[in-house]
Amino acid sequence: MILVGIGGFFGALTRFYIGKWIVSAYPWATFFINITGAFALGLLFALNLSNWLWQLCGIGFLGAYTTFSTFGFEALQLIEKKKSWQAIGYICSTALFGLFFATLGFLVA
Amino acid sequence: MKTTLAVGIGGFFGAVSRYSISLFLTNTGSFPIATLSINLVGCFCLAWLFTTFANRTPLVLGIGTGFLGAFTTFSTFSVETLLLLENNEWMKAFSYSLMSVMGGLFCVMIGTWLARRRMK
Repeated sequence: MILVGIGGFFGALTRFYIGKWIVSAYPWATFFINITGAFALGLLFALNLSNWLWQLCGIGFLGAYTTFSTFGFEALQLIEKKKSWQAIGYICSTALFGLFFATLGFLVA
Repeated sequence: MKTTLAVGIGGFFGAVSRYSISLFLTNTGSFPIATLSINLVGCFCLAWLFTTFANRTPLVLGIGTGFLGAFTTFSTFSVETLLLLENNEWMKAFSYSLMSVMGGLFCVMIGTWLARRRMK
């Protein structure tokens, strides 16, 4: 449980600082974070890590690094700014690329 | 510094809460119900919080970006969808994705709407 928390601490911070680096009107930061996180989790899952390493890196760090709530909130903000096509593009590309990169991580392992 | 610490501590408890819930809510019939409920609840709360408190103080960032950001997860969602596909559970994979994405958007709308109504 502590390991999950420690992973979560650093996962959330990494996400926060990447969000500060990548500044744009389109939510590229969250897109980048979620896609890379999906790839890494697919990779770690396929590697069959020992229990403690999975709790620290998989559930803790990568679980906290990627985020679903920000993704949903940003999608709604695009809709509210009347950028409906961007919103649809953001939603579909995140979902599909997430799946694609998770598969890629799986295969690379 | 204050914000960094707030986000980190929020992340700690967000990840721990998610893990605890996933231990409680075991997946019924191989459907990832835990991650789905976590993501939907998190979407609602984040939208409510960020709409109510437009001023991003360290506390708001700690709860929003830290706790709720770490509580919800995208990577687990993707890997779980992949696992369903690998087991040839196409319908489950499709409905899981649809419920997460559409449900998440719906929860964000409800959260935003409630926050705005309260402020009026």
